[in-house]
Amino acid sequence: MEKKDNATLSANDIQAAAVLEKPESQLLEMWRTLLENKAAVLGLVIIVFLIFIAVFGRFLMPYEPNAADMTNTFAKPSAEHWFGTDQQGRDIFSRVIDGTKISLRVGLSAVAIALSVGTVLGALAGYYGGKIDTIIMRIMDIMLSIPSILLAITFMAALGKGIDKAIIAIGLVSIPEYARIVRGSILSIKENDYVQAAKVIGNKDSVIIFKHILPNVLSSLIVRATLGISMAVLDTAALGFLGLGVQPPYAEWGDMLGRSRGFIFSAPHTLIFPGLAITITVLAFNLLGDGLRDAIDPKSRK
Amino acid sequence: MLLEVKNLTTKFKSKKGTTTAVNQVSFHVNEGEILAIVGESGSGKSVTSLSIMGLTPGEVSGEIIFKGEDLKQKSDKEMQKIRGDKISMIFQEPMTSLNPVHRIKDQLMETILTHMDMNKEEALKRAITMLDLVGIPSPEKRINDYPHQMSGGMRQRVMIAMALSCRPELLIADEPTTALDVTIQAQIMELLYRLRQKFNMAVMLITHDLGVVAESADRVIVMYCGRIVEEAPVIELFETPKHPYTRGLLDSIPKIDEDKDRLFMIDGMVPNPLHMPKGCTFSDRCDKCMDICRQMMPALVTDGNRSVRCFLYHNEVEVSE
Amino acid sequence: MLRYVLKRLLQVIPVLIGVSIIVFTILRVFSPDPAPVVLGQHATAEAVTEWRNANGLNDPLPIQYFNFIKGIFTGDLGTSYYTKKPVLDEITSRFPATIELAVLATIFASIFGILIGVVTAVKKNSIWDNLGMFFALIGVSIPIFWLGIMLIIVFSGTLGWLPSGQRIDPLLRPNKITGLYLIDTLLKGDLRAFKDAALHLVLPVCALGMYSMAIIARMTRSSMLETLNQDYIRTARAKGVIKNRVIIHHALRNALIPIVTVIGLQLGALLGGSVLTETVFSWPGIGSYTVNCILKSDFPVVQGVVMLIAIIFVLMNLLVDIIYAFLDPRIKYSKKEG
Repeated sequence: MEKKDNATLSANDIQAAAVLEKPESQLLEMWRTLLENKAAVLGLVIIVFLIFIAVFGRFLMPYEPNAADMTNTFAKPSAEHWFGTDQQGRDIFSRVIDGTKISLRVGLSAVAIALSVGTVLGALAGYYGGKIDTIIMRIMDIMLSIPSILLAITFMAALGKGIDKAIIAIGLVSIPEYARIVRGSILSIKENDYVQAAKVIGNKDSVIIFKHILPNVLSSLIVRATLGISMAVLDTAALGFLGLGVQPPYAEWGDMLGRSRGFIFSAPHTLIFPGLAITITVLAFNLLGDGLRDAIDPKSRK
Repeated sequence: MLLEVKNLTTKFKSKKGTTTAVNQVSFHVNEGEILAIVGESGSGKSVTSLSIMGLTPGEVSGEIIFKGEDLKQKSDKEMQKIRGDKISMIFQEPMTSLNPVHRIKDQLMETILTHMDMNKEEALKRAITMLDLVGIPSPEKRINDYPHQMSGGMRQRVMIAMALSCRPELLIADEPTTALDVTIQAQIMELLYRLRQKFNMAVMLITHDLGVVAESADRVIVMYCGRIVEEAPVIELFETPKHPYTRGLLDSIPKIDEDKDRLFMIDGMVPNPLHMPKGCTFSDRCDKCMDICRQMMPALVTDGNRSVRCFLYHNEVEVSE
Repeated sequence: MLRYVLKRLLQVIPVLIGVSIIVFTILRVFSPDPAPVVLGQHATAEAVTEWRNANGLNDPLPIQYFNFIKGIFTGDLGTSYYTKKPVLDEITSRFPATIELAVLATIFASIFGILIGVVTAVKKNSIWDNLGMFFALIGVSIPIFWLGIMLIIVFSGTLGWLPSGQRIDPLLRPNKITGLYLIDTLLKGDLRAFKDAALHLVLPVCALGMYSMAIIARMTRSSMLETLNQDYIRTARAKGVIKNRVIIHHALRNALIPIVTVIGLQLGALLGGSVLTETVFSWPGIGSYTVNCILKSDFPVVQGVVMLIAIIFVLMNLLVDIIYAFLDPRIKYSKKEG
């Protein structure tokens, strides 16, 4: 993009600045394109289904998910126990259903933390530049130079185990990605004609950030956040698997896998279904995220 | 006749419908002559040239007879042997048409080694000779450059050297000067003209610039919306243009000796290929438009060495497929 | 070039200092006291104080941090709370196992990722494209530890084709030369041991490399689609260059530039992923060891491992930047560049 002086802004640019105050149309367009994409719609359907299970799960569970039955451990899948029972005789089907709630809760909350903190940091860095930019982005670089799962387990060591702590740890480690996206978009948009035009019209900084810049970053953030949920679900399961995440009595998919790992050859069925549930959940958010990305960036659809 | 194109039609299919970029185009190129194909962007002139090369993703029908053989019947491998050897091509964008990660040397030698029975040393020698021929100073040094180290004019010279390195019989030059500065434009055209005579090759010059045409071409074909609308020897076309579109194009060339306040422009825009007007495709921009023009498409009628597609001169209607 | 490398090396230092501060803050300031975990719930107050004094935990925090930093430069990273051995020894004895796994996984991921990406891009919208991209989608969606478990169930359990734990049959274990069993067994000329070590690597490498392979495949595909549309590809075809050469010499060669970045970033992900893979396959590397140390509050070890991985990761990024210069002649590392 060629750099223009404020003085040479055309009437068109100023008009564009006015038009862009309505980002809804852009999101609506994105939504329409999305619905034409079969894979993305499949993802969306699975997500709706998962949310349904998370909300109404308790009515769908044939058994109490934590009810042990030491007389019926390691039962193979059957009509009574669809997914079989685990080392304590608990019904795996009920536990997998119960786990949906946990996974979605941790995934969504962690992304909410990362998204809000990351956006604020990225916006500050990108808009003001200078020292603020340097300090914020350096911290982000430092965080990015530790593999996220390693950073997350280190956080867990400090915070202790548990569901809220898992949310915080997973949320914290993904802040840099959002900060980078927001900062990058702001830097590229800031020089754009319509933002320059908004400045010429005399808008305040905060107005410019919220009215002109953020709506344009929004679509890339939505994409990133959707894909971020799938990462968060994976990380939750990983922490659970290592014994550092969500703790009993909650039935968490990764935790179930970690605790049944010793029975890999004697009772493989205890390990199949929780993992399948993780994969399907992650897959659904990936499908939707990919679809959203293609919808905002027609180039990648070609 | 070196090349004869008969009923060439190229279609592109997309979700929104089928676009006919080139529609029943027939023409020929004689040995050693310069044939200019003129038209605005979207007139199908570039697609015509890519169709001849077998480089368009579209669906091509018709016949492309080069030295008595139909190129459309050739396999991919046979076409690879012809491209860059017997027929070569240069493009509009010298800035992006060279591969940025390979040295000029490698890109020139690649063409030579693909088509000629030479070892690397001979190929390198030939590559240097070619660079010298296209007027690149100290070619033995510049041959080690990467494309980004050269100016646009230089890069176009390299493209020409590459295209001519195997002595093609036909050179297709697709807007070779459009992206260049005016002074460089003249130099490049002058170079093409000189090399054409030296090698006695035919040139198909694709351009929207009638100024370029007047200086160099032997014959001119004017295209509009995928069809040929007029064909004539260059002098006759400039002296007595027939088709209103050709006249419009000629009128829009600025002339120094005339004292006009503003340039003539053809009204309107090229129609959307998915929504062509009924009848003559030029009808809604034509200042001589008659009722029949909005109903039927005129045929391209040949009279002597001139052809024109306009009801002002005849009553023949195009028979659609 | 050398100047650029030196300059980048200097820039690495503040990042590593930052990493050390973050790690120190997490493990020494915010973490609960490790003493009860290490000494047991019933340890006496005196025993705890004595233990804390012995391990420098009662020193003021700045002193503790200073000792930590000093240790990084002198190679004295403290001693494990449990084994009492120097942390550096604990790490170096396990590190070759992790490196062997991570490097092979990177190679596996790069080769197959690029292959899938190129084929899917060239055959865009064909059945191969759809299959390849579906495979890649599964690859980014499947948890690596569960993939590992499934591979063990199928290939070790049901089919019995491949071993599922440890690096080698203990009877065949080579004497330590490099610690990389594939190399050590070859140096010894023991082909039976080499084969056994290789077989032990197959499943962990697949499990660990799958995610990166999928990421690289997707990146390669989109990068290839972009370069295949460029003018210079048309030029190459107009020159009569044969199709495969156009794809590899012209398109892939340009597409590689962003692919290399992704591969560089994946090494970090792979080192992180080794924590999970090593746990699943009982692989005696630093990944599984670190998890144990975190569970047991053996913080000196954890600090050392995180620092080591951050150093590797940062140096890898530097290496990627250097490789860039070879891949893209337009990049010049001039003095001006920041």
